[in-house]
Amino acid sequence: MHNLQIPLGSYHPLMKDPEHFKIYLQDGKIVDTDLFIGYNHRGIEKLAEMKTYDKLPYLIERICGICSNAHSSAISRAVENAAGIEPNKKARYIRSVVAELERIQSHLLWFGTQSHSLGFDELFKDSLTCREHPLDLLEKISGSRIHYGLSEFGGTKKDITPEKQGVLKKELGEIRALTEAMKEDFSSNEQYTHKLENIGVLSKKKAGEIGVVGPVAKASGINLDMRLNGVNGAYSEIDFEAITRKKGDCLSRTEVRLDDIIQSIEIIEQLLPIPKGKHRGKGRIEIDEPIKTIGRAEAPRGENFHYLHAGKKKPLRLRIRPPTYANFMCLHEMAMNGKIADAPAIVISIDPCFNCTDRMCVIDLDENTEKVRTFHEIVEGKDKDA
Amino acid sequence: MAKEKVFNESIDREKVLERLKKEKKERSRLIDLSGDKRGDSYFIVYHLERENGEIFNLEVELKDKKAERAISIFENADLYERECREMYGLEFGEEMKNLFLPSGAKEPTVEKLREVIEGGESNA
Repeated sequence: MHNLQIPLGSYHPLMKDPEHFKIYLQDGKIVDTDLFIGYNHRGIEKLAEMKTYDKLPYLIERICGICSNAHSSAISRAVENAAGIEPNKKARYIRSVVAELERIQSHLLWFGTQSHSLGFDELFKDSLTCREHPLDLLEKISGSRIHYGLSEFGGTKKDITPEKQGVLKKELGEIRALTEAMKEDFSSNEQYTHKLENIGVLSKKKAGEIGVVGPVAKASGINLDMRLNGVNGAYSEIDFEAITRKKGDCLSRTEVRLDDIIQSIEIIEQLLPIPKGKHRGKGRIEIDEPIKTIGRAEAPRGENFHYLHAGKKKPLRLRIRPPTYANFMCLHEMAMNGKIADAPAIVISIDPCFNCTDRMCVIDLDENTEKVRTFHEIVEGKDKDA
Repeated sequence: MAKEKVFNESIDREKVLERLKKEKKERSRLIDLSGDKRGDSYFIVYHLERENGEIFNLEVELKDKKAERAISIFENADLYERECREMYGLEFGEEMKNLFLPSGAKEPTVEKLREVIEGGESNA
């Protein structure tokens, strides 16, 4: 057996979030990992310092095409905290409904991606078909399927009218039926569950030490959910608990996300009908005195943290810590002493917004040679050298 | 809807590790760690959440760009400290691998960005 270094992922124009992992093997076991990011650095924190507050939500929601609302919600809360503004009741309900629809579509995209990457394309098809429903609903509410332009300080720009609420209720039933069927297909597919069970285990203790968030934390038994701290949306007015598991393996992370979808449907059902009243907030605002504050939102991948050092008209400093950044460190812990064949399932299980497992380049450190291996060669055990 | 309880505190560099140890003992979690530059001064801010949900922004002014390495207390400080080193050129007293910049790149990114985009303009 050679000592090998396997670069997992690299920059590719088709990938949304290009990250690069180096995986080091000794006798076929993973003994170390390295992480490199920054291939697509856009300088958004710096750009934000040049924007007046009313322009910020537009810029910040463009950080991500999957959880754009989580970013615009977090920055809105940060600016609202700085300006001493509280969103009106109707806006809080609308924000929560949109946040849950976003969670549903994000988890469905992730489940489809995982299914495809592990070779279960039927579930990939089902998941992506089901995802059209929440995307259609988001389009109906906001006019857009990706960037909703919803945020306004103290309110929302878009309303969910009683007619739209009727459509929402009907479509939610359809999403629930499709998701329940997918869950059944997934849990009864032993080939699929065996690829995830006891793989990439992250203990509760280690998860706490590393500071992971979202479904990764919840699958390890940590009850951390920004919806439950009462500072966002209308969640404090409804009844729900964070979905958790204890084992902390890839299977638990899948179960948490699938259950999250059903829970999000139930949350929206509880939020309907949306209270009557005004939903609009303020456009341009100014902050009286410079202040340091924060805004948080529970994105589909976990806690989205925005630190704002607010100047009068523009931020003096904006710091954004998205959930995937907090979750990166657990990959090392999950992969250690595992097999290279499990690496794709482990990386995908944190939902890092990228899928670059289709090809791998194996570098033989002793002989200084390299060979490109396909995803299937590695996952199906044809990578005999490794 | 409740409001985030946010507290800001400045602390000397020499006392920060001791304070972080105390916070860890009291089950605070490190949410994030950010760098900043205001005027000629560099800052590092530890964003902590206590068990009761209170947020503490613990700010340390770094007159000589030298910061304390906090990974022995909060393991997740590693990536954030590496980012601060690359973006602001902060020094943590040990060799650290690049996270964002290509290996070998040493010039702090924010300094470069500031020159290129901002031209030294201040929002204050």
